[in-house]
Amino acid sequence: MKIGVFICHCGLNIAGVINIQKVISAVKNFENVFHVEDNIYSCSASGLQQIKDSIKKYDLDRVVVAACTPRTHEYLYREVCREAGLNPYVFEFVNIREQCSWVHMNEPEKATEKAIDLIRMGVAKAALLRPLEVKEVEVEPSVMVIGAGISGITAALNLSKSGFKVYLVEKEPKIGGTLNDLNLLFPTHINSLELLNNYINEVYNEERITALTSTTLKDVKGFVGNFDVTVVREGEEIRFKVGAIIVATGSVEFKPNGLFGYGKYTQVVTQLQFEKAIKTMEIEKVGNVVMIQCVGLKEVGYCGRICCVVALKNAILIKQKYPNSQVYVLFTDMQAHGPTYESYYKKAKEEGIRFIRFNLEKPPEIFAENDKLMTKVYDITLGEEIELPSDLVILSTPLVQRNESSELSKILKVPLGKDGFFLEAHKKLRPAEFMTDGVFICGAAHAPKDVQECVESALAAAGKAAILLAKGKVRREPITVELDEQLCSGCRICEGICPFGALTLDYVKKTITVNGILCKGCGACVSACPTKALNQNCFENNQITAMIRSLSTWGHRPEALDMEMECEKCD
Amino acid sequence: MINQIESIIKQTKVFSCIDCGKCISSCPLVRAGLFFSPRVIMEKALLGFRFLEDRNLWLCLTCDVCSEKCPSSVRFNAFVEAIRDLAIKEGVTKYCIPCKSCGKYFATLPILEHIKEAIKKEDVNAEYLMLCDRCRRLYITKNIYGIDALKV
Amino acid sequence: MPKSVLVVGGGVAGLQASLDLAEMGFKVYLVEKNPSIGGHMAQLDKTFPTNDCSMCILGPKMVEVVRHPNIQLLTYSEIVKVSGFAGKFEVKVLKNPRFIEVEKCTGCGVCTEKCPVKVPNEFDVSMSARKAIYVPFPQSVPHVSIIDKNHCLFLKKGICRICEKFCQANAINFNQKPEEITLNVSCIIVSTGFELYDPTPISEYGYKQHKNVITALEFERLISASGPTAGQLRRPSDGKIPERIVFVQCVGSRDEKNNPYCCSVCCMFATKEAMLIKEHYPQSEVYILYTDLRRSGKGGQEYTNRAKEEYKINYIRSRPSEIIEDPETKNLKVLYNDGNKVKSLEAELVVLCNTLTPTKEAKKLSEILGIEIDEYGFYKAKDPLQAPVDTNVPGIFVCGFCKEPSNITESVFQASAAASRALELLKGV
Repeated sequence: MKIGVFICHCGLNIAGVINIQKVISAVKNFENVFHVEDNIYSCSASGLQQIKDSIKKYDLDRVVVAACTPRTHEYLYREVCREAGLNPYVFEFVNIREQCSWVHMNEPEKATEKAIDLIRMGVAKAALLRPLEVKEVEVEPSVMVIGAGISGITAALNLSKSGFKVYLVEKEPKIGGTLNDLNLLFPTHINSLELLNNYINEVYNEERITALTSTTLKDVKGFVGNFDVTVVREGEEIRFKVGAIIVATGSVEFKPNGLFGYGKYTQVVTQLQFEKAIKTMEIEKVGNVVMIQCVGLKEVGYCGRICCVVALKNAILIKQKYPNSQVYVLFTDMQAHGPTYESYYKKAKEEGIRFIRFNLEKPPEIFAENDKLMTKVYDITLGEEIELPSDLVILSTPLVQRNESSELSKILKVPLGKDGFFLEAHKKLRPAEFMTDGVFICGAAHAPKDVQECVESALAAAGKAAILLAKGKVRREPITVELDEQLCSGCRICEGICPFGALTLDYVKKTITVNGILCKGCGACVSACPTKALNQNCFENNQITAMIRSLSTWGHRPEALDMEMECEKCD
Repeated sequence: MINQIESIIKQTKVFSCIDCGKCISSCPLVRAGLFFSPRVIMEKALLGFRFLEDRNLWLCLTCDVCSEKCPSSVRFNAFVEAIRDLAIKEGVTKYCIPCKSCGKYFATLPILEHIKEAIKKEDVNAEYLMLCDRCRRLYITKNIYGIDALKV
Repeated sequence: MPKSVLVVGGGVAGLQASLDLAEMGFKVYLVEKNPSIGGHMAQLDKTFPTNDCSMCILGPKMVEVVRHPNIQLLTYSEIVKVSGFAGKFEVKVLKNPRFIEVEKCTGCGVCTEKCPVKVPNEFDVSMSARKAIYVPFPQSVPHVSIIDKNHCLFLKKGICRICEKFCQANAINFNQKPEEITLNVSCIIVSTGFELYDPTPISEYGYKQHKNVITALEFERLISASGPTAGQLRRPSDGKIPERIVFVQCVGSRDEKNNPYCCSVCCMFATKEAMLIKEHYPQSEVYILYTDLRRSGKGGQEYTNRAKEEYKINYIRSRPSEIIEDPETKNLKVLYNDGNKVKSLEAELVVLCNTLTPTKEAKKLSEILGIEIDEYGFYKAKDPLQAPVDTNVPGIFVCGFCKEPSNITESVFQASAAASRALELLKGV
């Protein structure tokens, strides 16, 4: 056994607190450790090369890297092991940054001791790591897009033109989503239906797109590359297989019930209601229009982002159509960022629309005076309260998640964030993906978006799905659970605990079957199993015991002995 | 008259104000601690409130420092002068001082009070102060250089 | 033979587009004008709204790119000529000489140690020094040296050559010449990003006149653990840790005299920088003077709320008219309005959130490619709603800040969108 230990300085992130030389001298003496070296940035291209070279030079058969969190670089180091000729799973990552130097910045001596102990445990485990096989599964060359609004349509068209088969599932009888209700779209003022009709024709002309309207999703089984989908269309069940799923279900307008006289006065409407009305020419003339921004901001807890520009658009349209009208926009902060929207804001001011800033703590009030509606607002600039006669009050409300999405999130096993919108894998670098492999997100279902952002995110999600399909095969992490059938009593405790549905009872054998593709390696079943029939690769029971034992025997933590004794009670 | 004010607003780009506040903190009157704000004058004009008789409108020095700093290119000087002309036409003359020589309205009482306060000198020729700037130039050429420009 | 795609610009958008295309199976040529990829994101300490360590999330992408078998990296290179049409572009690329044999250099750093010439370090916005032979920053990709021909003693005066003496890998080659290579590609994706606007013309803010008035990027480098002061916020005049810091938003943006547009991200990055100060120095007082608080991206509201409530950062709606320096203490007085009164904030450090603009090469590149740019220098999308990442030239796509002010999330979305448009146009690899 020749274990190589590579300790990273991470610039000053680790080396600024931990005495690297002291760690090296201690680790050199650990059992089975053949080689120890350090590096300023082991994740850099040269650092990785150094590790690769050392593995080959010293003929190492187990590798331990002590650095940052495995969440950033673990796969990189596994790749390096693979390139150096080792099985990627005889590698152990020890976190001495987030779990040591960063949290014990003021106690460098104790932090150094802790780092030595952490590496001690890592080395003890590494000695027991076994090489593991990587499974590969074929990917079904088709994609399901849920939701046929502008996002779903964009993704579907892009994928079909790239050569992939698409199932476009839409719960309404016609496709187009929210754009069916909109009037003109900013900033070019193109007619929404005109834009949609071009796309709709294309969708129905594309051979590779199967558009299923009046269809809802019933169930999705399977895993990335092999999803078994069941949908219901007018009472009938339809089943098909897809390799990837894109969620493009959009969102709905927040209904400001009880706010600013909404529901009480007929002259108080939302922006969407106004758009529908102006489209169907229900409004003959308007006198004084007051728009109130940030309606519902406190209730939903986030800024709707696009509602300022929506208000600008409708204000401009009102002034253009009814030049004698007076339009006031009551706002807190004008979310008109970037060159296009800043110019749009200027245009609105040029058209004669007046902007009044108010404080969220002192919102405007709507009241009726002799059959006339009035808006009272504290104008911050003026420093006094003013009253505006309001023939029409339009409330700008944010987009919110649909009620049906909670059901969808359960079916697809994808999470919703605190704000109610679907939660992506990483806010910045993986905004179109979910942590659940093979499922992607785009459009207003991800966060409030305008049409441009919907199209961009839909293309991005389609691209991510295309990568999966273009590869044709999917590799699964072998850090999953394995069952010893001899020890399994068929009690099914683990089946109930597994959040991914990876464990099912085989009624013939009367033991559990593990779906290694669905298994995410969370380990919940391992701890629940009363007979210790389940064991998780890379976190095997004997490996964990060895870690605890190394700490209690040689480490700075004698209390670990108690932990070891408790742990062995299950044996 | 609302239409005339709207037209002045358009010409002087008062509508393009982004409410940043730079004009207020650059204004020498505000810095001197006086109760004055260019932004308030503009807001009243934009909202269509009656402000021609606001003392504020007549206190502005029209020094144009605010316009220099304005990021939206609002021409505040031109706005104030145009509004004052409009006000005078509408008969709002109570703040105006007529030139002792030709009778033209040339300065505003609030400004005069401000200057007197700031200068606090009694030796400034009172007669000189009460002339409009054209007549003032003529006064200089006449009394100092002996040239009567009107005759010339 | 897989089709090839050219990506111009190796910042986060260019890296994302390259990786997506490479994973789809295309051969990717990534051309970057600087000696290392990474762009400006590599200079940041943390990124909003998650306050992730910037290099920690960008680093793996940079390494993935250099290790990907389908991606060929052409750093310190620029596009000289483009001809042809979608499916068959002929691109002439000029590889500027590093005077280093890239395959031989191990990035060991001995040459840098021995070099006698000190030059302002661009990566640290000239707040630290580098040598005439240097590796741009510790996590550079490729991690090899480069000789700055404008300051190298041998290349300018024919003397020295110390680096060559000490290089164990024999990687120094003073005879290297610029090399022009021709690439045949099917599509081009432009992701040239941005540069920072120099606020010196805004004389009322005193940048370059008052020592303790710095720009946002200079701040990022100071607060960064890998920066010139190892993460200690030492102000330029005396190295003191400031107790009160004022951020000024919209410096050079939303300003008819400089750049009329809004740069979209400065409210958020000021919030982030303010949070970093409070994390390093909880006793400090931080003020942000803004015009409209623009919350860019998902989670923006939560972020600014947290800044106000948890971090106790003071947000004041006002654009200051002047920053005056005390000649003795070098402290600054920021004059701003509170309602209709003038107030003055005394601060020991002022950070100007200067705006971001298209790069100075953007215009020239647009002419070479034949794509349209708008009056501010941003590349124009063919249609903002129907073709937001296409340009007027079929086969040339654009993404990231060079198209319109975007934060990291938006740039990544657009980069993946451009890659999928390339796939659609070429109908597969």
